[in-house]
Amino acid sequence: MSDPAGNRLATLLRLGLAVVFIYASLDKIAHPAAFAAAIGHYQLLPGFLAALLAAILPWLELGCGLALLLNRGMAGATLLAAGMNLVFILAITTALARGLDISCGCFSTSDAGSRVGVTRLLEDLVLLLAAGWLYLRAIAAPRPDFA
Amino acid sequence: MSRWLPAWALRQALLLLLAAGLTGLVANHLNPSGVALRPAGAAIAGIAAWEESERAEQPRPISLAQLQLLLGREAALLLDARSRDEYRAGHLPGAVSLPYENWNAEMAQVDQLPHDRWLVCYCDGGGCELSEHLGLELVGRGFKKVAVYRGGIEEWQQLHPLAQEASHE
Repeated sequence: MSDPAGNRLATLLRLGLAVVFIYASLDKIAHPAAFAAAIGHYQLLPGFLAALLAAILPWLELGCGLALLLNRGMAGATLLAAGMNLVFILAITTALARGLDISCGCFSTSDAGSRVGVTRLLEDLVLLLAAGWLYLRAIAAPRPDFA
Repeated sequence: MSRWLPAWALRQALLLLLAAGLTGLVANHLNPSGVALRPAGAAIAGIAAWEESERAEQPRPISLAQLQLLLGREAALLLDARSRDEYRAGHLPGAVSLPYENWNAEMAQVDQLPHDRWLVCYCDGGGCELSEHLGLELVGRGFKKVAVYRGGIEEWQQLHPLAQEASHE
């Protein structure tokens, strides 16, 4: 490609996103019930849907993280990563707006984990921008790997 | 599809979603600390059946989900079968301390326990026996609604904080 700086940045962001998503998934995969409780604290979903989300979301994070790490199915992985971050941002924003003082459930399922707050919101915004930019690059140079 | 959402990108995303969803459901099913994927309605029907099923002359095992439904309707009283010191260090919220080691000295308290609520005994969890012993003694003392929460402290504190002050009762 003719844009070596852009390519280097893309690789850096891709690996960074991969590490964040894989790391975020591990504790939740080990403790689905605790993660379901963390989702429940947001008071956005009925219990059944919170449980279903707790069972599936961590594996989606892991799957996206691995795809990003291996540079496979980048369009799909970055699309999902951006979508997840958008959902996280909405959830945290509504939690803050409602004045909920709850643990984030972002990286750790324990109640001692970090609380929802503006810092988490900004982190998610950065991740959203990174995923969005990588998505635009992926669909601009279509090399469908496994679609 | 549109320029910003080409069909092949969407297919990739759906494929990933499907793979993660299936893996997640299977893994959750196999994981002993997995989350119960039944609608709340089924759980409530389950607790009714649990309460109405034939009452054997021994304590009934109760799961965390069932326990929470009972606690939600104030239909259960938690009894901590461990020592007083362990109780002070941390117990389930609302629990009353009834150390099995002091059973014979606790008769006055035992005779004041309610007969119209489930007496749910617990100890550390992970195979501890104090709650079973306490449950059997309570049944022997004439209580009909006696249950043992085998998950105990260990399972509870994975999801909920413990209380540290004296009991609310």
